[in-house]
Amino acid sequence: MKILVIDDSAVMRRIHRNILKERGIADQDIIDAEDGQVALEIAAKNTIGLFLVDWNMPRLDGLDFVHRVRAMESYAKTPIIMITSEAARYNVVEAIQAGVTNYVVKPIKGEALIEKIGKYLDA
Amino acid sequence: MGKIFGSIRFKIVSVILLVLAASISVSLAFIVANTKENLLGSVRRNLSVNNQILTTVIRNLMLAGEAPIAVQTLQGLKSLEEFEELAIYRADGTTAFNDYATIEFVNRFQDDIFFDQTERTERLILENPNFRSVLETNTPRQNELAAERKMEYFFPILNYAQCRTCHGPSPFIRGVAYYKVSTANSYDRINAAGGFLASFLAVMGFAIAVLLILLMQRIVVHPILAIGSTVAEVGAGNLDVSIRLGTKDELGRLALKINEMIEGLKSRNRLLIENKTIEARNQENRKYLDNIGQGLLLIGADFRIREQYSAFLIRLFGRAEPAGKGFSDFIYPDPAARTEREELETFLSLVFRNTLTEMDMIQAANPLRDKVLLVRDEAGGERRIVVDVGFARIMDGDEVESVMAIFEDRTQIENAREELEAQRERRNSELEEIAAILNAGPASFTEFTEEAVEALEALKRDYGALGDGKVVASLFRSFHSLKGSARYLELQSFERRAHALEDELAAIRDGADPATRMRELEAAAARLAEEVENVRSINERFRAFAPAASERGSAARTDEVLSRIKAMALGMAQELGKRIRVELRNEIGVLPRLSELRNPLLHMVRNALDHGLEEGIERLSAGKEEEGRLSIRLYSPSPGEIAVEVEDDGRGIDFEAVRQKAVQRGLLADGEAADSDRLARIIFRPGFSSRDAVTGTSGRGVGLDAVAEAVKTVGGRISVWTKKNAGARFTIRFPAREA
Amino acid sequence: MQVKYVNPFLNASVRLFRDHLGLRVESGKPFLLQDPQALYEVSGIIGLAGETRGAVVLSFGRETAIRIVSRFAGQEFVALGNEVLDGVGELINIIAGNAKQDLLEFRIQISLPGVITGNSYKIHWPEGVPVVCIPFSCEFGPFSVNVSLKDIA
Repeated sequence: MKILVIDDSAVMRRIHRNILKERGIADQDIIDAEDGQVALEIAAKNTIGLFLVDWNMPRLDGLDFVHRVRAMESYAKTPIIMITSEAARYNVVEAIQAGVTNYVVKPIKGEALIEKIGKYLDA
Repeated sequence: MGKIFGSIRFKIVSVILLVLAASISVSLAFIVANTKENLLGSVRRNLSVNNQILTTVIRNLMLAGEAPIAVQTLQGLKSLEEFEELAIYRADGTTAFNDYATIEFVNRFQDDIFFDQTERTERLILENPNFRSVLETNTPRQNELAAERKMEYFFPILNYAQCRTCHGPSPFIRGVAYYKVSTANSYDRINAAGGFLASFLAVMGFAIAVLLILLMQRIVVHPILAIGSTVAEVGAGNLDVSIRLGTKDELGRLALKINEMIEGLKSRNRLLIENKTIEARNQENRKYLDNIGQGLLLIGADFRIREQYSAFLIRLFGRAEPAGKGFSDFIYPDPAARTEREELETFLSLVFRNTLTEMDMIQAANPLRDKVLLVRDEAGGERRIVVDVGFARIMDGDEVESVMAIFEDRTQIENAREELEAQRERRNSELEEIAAILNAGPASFTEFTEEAVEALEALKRDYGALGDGKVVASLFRSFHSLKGSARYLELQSFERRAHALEDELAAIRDGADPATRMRELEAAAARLAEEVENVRSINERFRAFAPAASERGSAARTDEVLSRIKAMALGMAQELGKRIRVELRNEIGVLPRLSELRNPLLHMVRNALDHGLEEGIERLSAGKEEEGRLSIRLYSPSPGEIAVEVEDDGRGIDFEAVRQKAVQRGLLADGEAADSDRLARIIFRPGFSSRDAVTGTSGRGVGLDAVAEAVKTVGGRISVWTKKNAGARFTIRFPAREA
Repeated sequence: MQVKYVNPFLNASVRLFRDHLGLRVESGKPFLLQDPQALYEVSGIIGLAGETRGAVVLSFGRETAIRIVSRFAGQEFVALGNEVLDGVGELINIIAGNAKQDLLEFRIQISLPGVITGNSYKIHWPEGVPVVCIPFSCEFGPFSVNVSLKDIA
């Protein structure tokens, strides 16, 4: 199963990759994207089983990305995890309405992330 | 026994046997009688025939003139076994052929004894009714001698025309022939036949009986018993039985009907059990719901509360019947709370509809976490509760069928925490009081408790006069200074309680209707009185042990007071997160009116710390040192005059803010000019909080009016110097006259 | 400049470095920055606008920055490359995001202009307001939180 990690920060992408690899995911199953636009293209060309999306990105932000990827039929129900540095309520409501599956707050502890996505990794 | 006799088997068997026995007996009797008749009839016929033969023979013999042959024939016949008796009687009853004369004649004639002389019976036969009857009726008669098993036969001998030739014309009846034969044979034959028949019929009957019984058994009894035993089973409660009869007759149909009935009973039973189980489960659920220590309710997709909820909710919300209400209406009954209701409804729609999102993310948007709600109970009173509501989705396949809301009452926890705090506080306050007394000496405490008691008495006296602003202001001042003293003596919990009482008085002073605050006011006063009692009793005990408060030199006292104030100031500063330096300059030695001035002094120091001096970062950005400077100076500005001065290098008094606040408070008309002097005086007015003076933000603070009052008491004046960002200096000057 | 605006950033920084990265952090006595441009080599800027206007700037020495980001990313960096700068930016992002929670009651907008480095860069502090420096030290080296805010209204 392929996992798509979308974050404008290279460091964060690295951190996510490390967390996933520690959990046993193969390197080639983890795809990076540095913004929403690129991510959409990758999603269209591959079969992604799980999305990790940074919420605050320059070109196409997380919320927009979620709206668009959910509009794609094959991704109507795919798990999408939102990664954000603030947990304000209005943020969360918007994200839920867009169709996000769950969220983690930065700074991310590896265990916290795995706890939330574990069930999708085994699927 | 009765069971046997009552059973249908017995009945059937007895019926069969009776019927058979009856029919056999009847047939037997009939047949036997018939046979007897037949046999006897044939014997009679036989006899008749015999008689006819005999008479014919004799007649013919007689006619032939062969009377002796007739006699012989008769004799010969007599010896036949067949005939028991055979006689011919004359009409007069005498036996024929035994007239001796005749016999003699004949014998002589013959010269032979052809006829023996038979005894002459003495006409006994005439007594026989049958004999006579024959004579009369001229018809043969028979007589059955059943007991002897014999039959008598009387046959008239007629005087036929041919006979008349010899015998003469009369009588018409010459005599009667008499036969007696044994019917034993016939009877034996009849009996034999009867016996044979009887046994034959018995055997037949038995066989038929057995056959009938078996058939009855099979056709009737067995099915009935089968039905009976099945029904008995059903009666005993076992419904898993059925009657197995293959027959199509009435019993078979009955069996089918009974089987149907059993099925019907079974399914009704099942329903009953199901209903009972459901009923029991409901009861159990009800028990859970009534006893669970949480509020539970279910919300349907229409956001309305469903029928079942736990009793805890009623207690929590103080009102009944959440069922059927909209959930947001229930939580926020006040129609003015629109935003909150919208927020809640948005949240509910997320829970119900956004099934892509996991519940723990949805919880992040939960507006009812540790939420303070106002509930109005039935008495109309309002109550504050703290609830924490969790939500759980109840799925039906992929959709959310309903949502369970779980209410935790945190009010208790809050209350418990407060209670715990209060207890800890009480304990601490006692320790504190002990420590304070050890530190400051009982004397100060005696003064202090006296001051407190006085203030509380004044309050009690003036409860009725709280409508008067001046009264309230004065009460406020006395408790404020009491608070200051408590602070000075490091009685923190006392300070807190005095503060609470102050709050109430402030509210009244600021316009609240005294009547509405009475309860809280009294409660606060009571708590304060409690504390006073505590201090007093501990103090009493100390005074018993400690030596009498020595009258130390007043100078020493002044310094003591000053250093205590310094210590207090440093402590306060630390609490406020501010770093300060305190300078003490006592240039006069003994401060007259120390006791009256101590509190105002304290007050001014507090003021400086609370409002004058800024926090480190702010000071730095203002170009000052991080450490604030507070100085207290006692000096004599001119002979006979004493000055008490408190100076800080903080923010200073913002006169612009003062002006605006004064306008707001109605102390100054808008646009009215006011020079700094005037404004300085204004800040000493009652109701003008020191905070107002400094930051322009309103707050409940005590006015510098308390200080002004004290100054008046010592006959002095107070002046203030200030510069924005540089600080402020308060100077009290009064004449140095010993009170 | 009020403490209530500054504390959220200080607390968020300490939480991030101490709790999340496991570094021992100590704060020092705040002082006025005489030369407002005298910061360490790597600076992350958080802009504030609204009730108060100005900037909160986290400043790190080169080595400190590299080591902190290495700890954060779980990978040893040796030079102040793009990834390290990116990492510093992410740390600033996290601090600003977390601080937002405590600033909800005020009307303040937070912006993240970014991370700058080099030996000569200029930060546009608000006019007429001094810069206060709160120094910190951790086992990877010193850093500072520099604040200059002009309170409006």
